[in-house]
Order: sequence, then structure tokens, then C-alpha cells
Amino acid sequence: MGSTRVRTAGFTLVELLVVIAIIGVLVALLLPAVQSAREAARRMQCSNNLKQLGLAMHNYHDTYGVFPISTYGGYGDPDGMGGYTQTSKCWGILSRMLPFMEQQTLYDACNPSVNSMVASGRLNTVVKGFLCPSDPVASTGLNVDNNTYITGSTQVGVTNYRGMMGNDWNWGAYTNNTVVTPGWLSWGTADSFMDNNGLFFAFVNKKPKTMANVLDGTSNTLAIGEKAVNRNFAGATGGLVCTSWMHTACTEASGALPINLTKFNTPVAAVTWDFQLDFNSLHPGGAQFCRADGSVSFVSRTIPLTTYRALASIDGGEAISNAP
Amino acid sequence: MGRKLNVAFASTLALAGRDRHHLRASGRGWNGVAMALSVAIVLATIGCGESGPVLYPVSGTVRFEGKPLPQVGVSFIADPSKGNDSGHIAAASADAEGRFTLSTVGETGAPPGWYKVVVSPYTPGPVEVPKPPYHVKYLTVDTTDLSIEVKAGAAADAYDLTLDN
Repeated sequence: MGSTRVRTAGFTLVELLVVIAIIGVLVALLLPAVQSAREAARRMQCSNNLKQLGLAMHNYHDTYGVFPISTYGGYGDPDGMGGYTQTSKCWGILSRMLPFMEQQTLYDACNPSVNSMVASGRLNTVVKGFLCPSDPVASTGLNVDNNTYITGSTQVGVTNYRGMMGNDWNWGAYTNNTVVTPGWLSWGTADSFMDNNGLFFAFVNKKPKTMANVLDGTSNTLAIGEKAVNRNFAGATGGLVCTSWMHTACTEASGALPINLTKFNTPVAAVTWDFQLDFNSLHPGGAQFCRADGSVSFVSRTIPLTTYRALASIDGGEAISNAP
Repeated sequence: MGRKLNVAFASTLALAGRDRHHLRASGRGWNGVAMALSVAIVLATIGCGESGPVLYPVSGTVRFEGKPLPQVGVSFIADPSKGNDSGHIAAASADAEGRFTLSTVGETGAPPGWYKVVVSPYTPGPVEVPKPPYHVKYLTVDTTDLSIEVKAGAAADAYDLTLDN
């Protein structure tokens, strides 16, 4: 009788240990996923901001028949903008789009056609829609700018989004002479800030673009991208690291330079412009862009530079075979 | 994720129950199966992150008229006419001794394949760009005649560039 005793229902110690071990493994797998879920949520909010900018850009186009225009007063200031610092009227694309993103009152206060940026009294106004939550600067939305464009340690509301100025670039290792051919070029006569091929190129030879100008196709053209705010930039003289959402020069970046060329918050010398005008973000592996058709997508930093440069221009005529 | 966890838990119990009825004699065997299963789950779920292209280290010296040429930007641009369809551009600026070490998409090195080489006068920022002393054919990808293959086990001087006047 004793030898044929039926075992009562239950688990042996070994079975329980195995079960616990498997649960342990699964939980260990889950934890990193939760951590990256936080970043995923921030990135999603960031892409939503980009989407809103894309809609604002399209609504602007519907109203005025052209994409938002910037003004710039450098290079002899032919348009009488009053120079190129914050005492001038160098209002960038983001300020033009304010009425189309429920910021009509701020736009009225700025009144770009009349006021200089200082006179508007709104340099330190923070616009939530211009901030990417993945960037620590978004906690306050403020930065102290002291560079060529915003001088004298001025507190400014920052932007994490910049317009695409194109893929022509005349300086440093990533030189790419596509629009401006050195003939021989010199600063201020013919260079990438005098002419370029991006949707929001805004310095000299400013030509507001229309949908019809986007010959490469609106879905193959990058319009607005991310730019993390580097707050460890020591140089003031000749520095381009301005962060204000108002200024034309702070709301432009180049598609000639690889994404995330700038390592976040590493000091860069005042004189190397390469490492100041790339698009970069704090999302792992790349940056998000709004294309001219209003769609928002993540572009990996490992995208072949040739493809990326093709996406940066509006009328390069490149056939993008492996469009990401 | 929670549902997945429950399913895994249930199936573990089911397997354990099966063990009770049929595999009493081979309890150790089941233990081994469980271990193998756990290892398989771990291996299957530990993914690799998105990886960039395979890169080979590329360093060299730019020379002009027998002397190292400092202060130039060097770009290796993938050459589709020689089968390199990768579209990658590896670039660097040469130091005071004319030495450069290429990097691609932020990592040191360049993917293997044939490249056209463009050499630009280097200015760190928008100041006047000097006219280069060397021939202007090296300035654009359409006119340059420098062609170099990046490959494993290249000779020490395989990536040295000698420019004409």
C-alpha cells in the first residue's frame, strides 16, 4: 500500500525554482524595456511637436502661397534689417509660424515687420511647442546666449527645431560644393550662406519657396529637424551656437553635415563651424525630421551621407534609391 | 508585456505538470530542458542594437610637391561606378603634419569599397577660403582623379594622397 501511494498534487522544489528562474529572466528583460519606454514617450512628444510645426508650415503656405520666410541683415544689410544681432529684425521661420500654432498673441507682441527682437521684449518667452522633452534644456526652455547673433549674455527662449538650409557647405572636412562652386569663393561674396538649396534657406538671396519649388518631391525633402541645445559652448567670438527661437541664424541647420556630428555638450572651439550647424538630437541613434509633405520620421545617424544630402535639397534631382 | 509574462508562466506550469505525470524518472532531464529553454529565451530576446556599416581604419598623409599638406579637408566619397553603392562619405581634416584619420557616420573608419577622393582647402569657419595651391580638379567629385579602395589589410601607405600641381 505504502509503495503505491499516489503523489498528492503539488510542485517539487526543483520545479518551483525553475519557474522562479524563468520569471526572473523575463522580469530582467522587462526592466530595460520600461526604461526605454520613457525615452520613447519623450520622443513621441518631440515628434508631435514636429508634426505641429509641419502643419503650421502647410497652413502658412495655404494662406500666403509660400513657405515661411526669414529675414537676415548681414552682408551689407541690403534690406535694412538693422544688422544681424538681437537689435535687428532678423526674425526666423518659427516666429512667422506662431499664428498657425495658436500663438497669435505672441506674434502680435513680436510684430516682426515693425519690431526688432529686443524691442519686442519677448526674447525670453518660452514656447513649449519649440522644445523637445528629450533635451534637458526643455525643463526651463531658457538659455543664456552670448555669440555672434545674440550678444551680451542675453537670456532667450530656446528652440530644438531648425529649418533645413540645404546641402551646400564650403568649410571643413564635409565641404560639399553643390550650389556655390568656388570660383574662387571668399567669405561674404559667394558661399553657403549666400545661396543654398534647402527649403528654409534664409540668409542672402532669400527666395521664399513654394510647393512648386520642391522638385525632388515633398516626401523626399527634409524641411524641419531637431537640434539639441549645446550649453557647453565656450566660444563667443564667431560662435554660431545661438539657441533663440526668434533669430534666423538660430533656426537654420545644414544637411551637408552628418546627423549627430556634434557630441552632446562637448566643448567645441569657437572657430569650427562644422560642429555647430549639424542636426542632432538626444534620441539614441539619430534625429527626427519633418518633411516638406508634413510627415515626421526618424532618420538614423547611419544613413549614407549621400542619401541624407539628397534629402536635404529641394531640387537636386537626385534619385533616392534607398530612401529611408 | 504583462500578458506575455502570464502566458510564459502558464506554459511553464503546464510543462511542469506534464513532468509530474510522465517524466518522474527523468526529473533531471526536465531540469535540463528548462535550462535550455531559459537560455534560448535569453538568446532570442537579447537583440543587437542597430549597427552601422562595417568600418576599416583609414589613415594617411596628404602630400603636395613632396611635402605634407596641412589644413585640408579630405572626403572619401563612395564611387558607384566601381561598385560601391553604399552612398557613404568618410571625411576628416588633416592635421599640421598632413595626417588624416577618416570617420564615417560619427565612427572612426570607412566601409570597404572604392572611393573617389576630394581634397578641399580647410577653413574652420566662414572666413575667406584660400585658393588651394594644388590643382582644382581635386575639389569636386566629378573632376577628381584620385580613386582609392578601402579594404582589410591595406599597406601602411595605401591611403596616402599625392596631389598634382
